[in-house]
Amino acid sequence: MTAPEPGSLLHPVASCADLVPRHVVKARLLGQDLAVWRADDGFINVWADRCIHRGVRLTVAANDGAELVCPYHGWRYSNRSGNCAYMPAHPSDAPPRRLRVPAFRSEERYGLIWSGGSPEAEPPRLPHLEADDTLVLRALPVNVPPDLALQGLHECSYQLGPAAGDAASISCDSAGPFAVAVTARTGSTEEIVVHFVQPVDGGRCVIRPVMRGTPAAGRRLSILRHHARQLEELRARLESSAGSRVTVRGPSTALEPLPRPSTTAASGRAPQLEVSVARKWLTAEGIAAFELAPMSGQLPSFQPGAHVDVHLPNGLVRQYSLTNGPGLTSVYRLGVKLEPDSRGGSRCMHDSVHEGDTLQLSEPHNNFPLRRDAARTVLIAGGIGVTPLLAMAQTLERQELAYELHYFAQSDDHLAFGEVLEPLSTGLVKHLGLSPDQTADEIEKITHDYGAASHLYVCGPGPMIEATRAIAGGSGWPDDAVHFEYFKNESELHDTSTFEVRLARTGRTLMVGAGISLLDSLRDAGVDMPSSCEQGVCGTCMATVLEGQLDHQDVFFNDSERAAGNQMLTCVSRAAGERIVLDL
Amino acid sequence: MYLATDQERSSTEYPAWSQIRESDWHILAGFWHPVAFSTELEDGPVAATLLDVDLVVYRTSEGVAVAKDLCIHRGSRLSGGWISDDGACIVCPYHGLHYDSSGQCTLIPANEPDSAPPPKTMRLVSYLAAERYGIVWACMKPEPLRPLPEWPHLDEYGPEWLRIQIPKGTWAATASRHCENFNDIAHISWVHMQTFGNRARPVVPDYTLEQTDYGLYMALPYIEVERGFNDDLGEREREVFYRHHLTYPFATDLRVDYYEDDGESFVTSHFFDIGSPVSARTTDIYQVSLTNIPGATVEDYAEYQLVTNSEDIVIVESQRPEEVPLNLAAETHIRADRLSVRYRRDLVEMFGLGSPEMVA
Ligand code: FES
Ligand code: FES
Ligand SMILES: [Fe+2]
Repeated sequence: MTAPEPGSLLHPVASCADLVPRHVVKARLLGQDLAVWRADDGFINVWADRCIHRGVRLTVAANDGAELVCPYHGWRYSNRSGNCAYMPAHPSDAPPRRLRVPAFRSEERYGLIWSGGSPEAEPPRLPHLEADDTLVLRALPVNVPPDLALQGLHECSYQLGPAAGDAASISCDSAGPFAVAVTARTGSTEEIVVHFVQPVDGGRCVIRPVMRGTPAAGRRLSILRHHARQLEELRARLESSAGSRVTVRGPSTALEPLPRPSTTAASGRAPQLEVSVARKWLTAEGIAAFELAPMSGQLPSFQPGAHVDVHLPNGLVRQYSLTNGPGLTSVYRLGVKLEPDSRGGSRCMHDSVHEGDTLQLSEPHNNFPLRRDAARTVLIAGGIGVTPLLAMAQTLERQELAYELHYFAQSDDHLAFGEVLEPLSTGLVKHLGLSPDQTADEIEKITHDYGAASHLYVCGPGPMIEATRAIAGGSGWPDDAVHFEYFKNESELHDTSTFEVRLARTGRTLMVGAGISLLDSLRDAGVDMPSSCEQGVCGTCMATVLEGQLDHQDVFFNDSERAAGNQMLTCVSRAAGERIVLDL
Repeated sequence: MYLATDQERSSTEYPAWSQIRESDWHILAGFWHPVAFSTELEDGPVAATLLDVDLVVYRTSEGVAVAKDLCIHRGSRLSGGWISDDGACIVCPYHGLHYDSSGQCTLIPANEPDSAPPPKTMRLVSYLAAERYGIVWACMKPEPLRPLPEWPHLDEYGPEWLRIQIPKGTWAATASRHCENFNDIAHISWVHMQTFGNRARPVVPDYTLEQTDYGLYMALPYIEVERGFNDDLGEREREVFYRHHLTYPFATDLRVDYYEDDGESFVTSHFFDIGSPVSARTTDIYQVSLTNIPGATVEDYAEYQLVTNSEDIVIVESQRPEEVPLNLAAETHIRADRLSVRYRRDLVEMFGLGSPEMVA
């Protein structure tokens, strides 16, 4: 029988009790440094202990309950996915999707957190222990390789509970490849401690003893003390006998990071996620709410303001904003209003999509990013346009940033997502049953005093957006302080250029449409293009240009390189004319 | 116990135990690096380490000199010795051999006084040495790749300027990580919240960045928070203008301008910062400041700078990998990082640092 690869198994990395709320715990498994933290929704994140920006350890980051905040430049990473959600230096940019801290599996059992392992691996299930009735004893780091620790534990003759007395008979048996169960019997009483061995790296491990059952309150402390002392002795014995055998520290086996939650490269237009309708309800007059749960794995994380493309059973594709607050990451929650003149989108969502049905989605996209550095944040919602603004309001609420949410609707019955609005009470102002003129008057009042660093976000019917933009502009709001998203997404794509790209090596030609980057178009066409920042900073996505004028939009090239015109960064730059030829 | 009979006197320049890759070592050895503050030499020779080579730094009547900290006679450390009474030589503490500022042995006290002078070949392994800005610099190659940083303000300054020499610090971080941090704007609002950082202003505007003959020039405004470090006026915002002149590879002149609270007097401070690569992951920090803020004192200024440094150290020492990845795809960059991206590209394209290992 060959021993299983340590990398294919799940191993303990911490005890559940270590995960104090709003803290980040340091761990190490098979040579990989880990940052372990619990979010307010209970999810346990096991991440590589390294900010992807400039490598700062995330164990020194702040845990705000939904995001981890790196102390060096304040990047925020989302619970569950590890995606970068916000970069304070560039508050109006949505961070590219692929910016993500490697996240590993996390499972809870026997009061321990388990991580690593192949996707099929399960935490051990032992006859010695019952899942919900254990006492986790103090963990003990030892400077010996895991196999020596296991061997030492097998030879273990240490007295278990202080009550066992000298007469106890001790037996040790293997409880899986990385655990030893020690049983002590005196007469009819029996005490079992399973010692799990966490392989830290080539020369170190942590012994994590778990005792069966819950001791009587009075005995707890003496048991803990007794075991701590016994284990100290065991450590001294192990370390002195290991002596010269202590091997080099360093990565022995690499951990497999969790796969990205989507299968394809992020072109974003093709359906990438399969979800099921976990819940559907009428949240307001004419508005159906949906909770969409992943069929497997996790949902990609999203930023406030983001939407998904929903591929409907009737073949149509519609964009709907996510209303999720930062804590809600297990389902996507959408609201769909039944449009009387529906061309089949909202009608289909209302009539033909039922609980239990399967839907295809794109990954979330964000064309409506929220700045979190404003002196004043005003959210103006018209009817169903409240959906992206709900996500924003909940994010601001969580970070304790002030905001106003002005919700214009026909009547109380038309207010969607009451259960989300309820806890927002401080920032929420309802404007009910107003005519268009009265609405304009209200917006006038809301926006009349523009102050520096104020930002306004408006979403709703087209005429209302137009009116808000005009009124705010009249009161001195600069264009870049007024953010809007047309709820119907016709004008969602940017009015940027359309051009043709010829790939010289393969002889293929493709069209790059407005609102889609050259990088994404190349990927859609199956060209394997690497990228990193997707902001024209790092140069990773460079292509050699053989022909054609360029519209450089990067900050990577210096003037002479730019003038040479023979290279371009495909993530942001485009053709200046109608056609370019790339050496691809 | 013994070295073999065919083992020669160590002749290679590159110290075998160095964790700096050999190709990078030879490039870095071609730059000038600080090895001591001039003030450190007042009481005789001192020891320093540069690129994993142990050095002795000493001053004779001829000026400053730098050599391997190794007497060629029986290998004792010259930094434990002293300067001869006539000021011309360093004296080895073991058998009293004398060496002049060029490293030539001039006296062997155990020989009869009338013996022939020591042979011309009896000399220390000496390096280029220079003294400027109150700092002793060394270059371990005969032809420096670049001149010393050109900081005319620090050469000559009028009586309205106060010069502050900050106590030397040692960081457990590579010199380039330190240098990038000193020239990083986005971190100020996060890391410097005890000193001048402003959490409410984390946005980095598109800034000026130019390649120059010495390195890089960056200029941009920032709104600091003045925390009443040397007055009792409490916290207030203050608009400042930063100009960074980065001389490759590790030296920066940061000039900070602002109007005093009265809106009348315009004041300027310079923060000169040089990281000296002791070894792959250890850096000595040499800092000198100049300011014309009326009433500034050396004590206040030095303390302020030391608190600022202590805010940076914890972060920079925690960066992983310790080495700066010169493959740009190995870390993530945003627009605020234009300087650091250019810096990394230039280290590769201009000097050949980080070149892949030769495969046999
Ligand atoms: S290193 Fe983490 S945000 Fe920059
Ligand atoms: S991916 Fe960084 S420049 Fe394009
Ligand atoms: Fe700093």
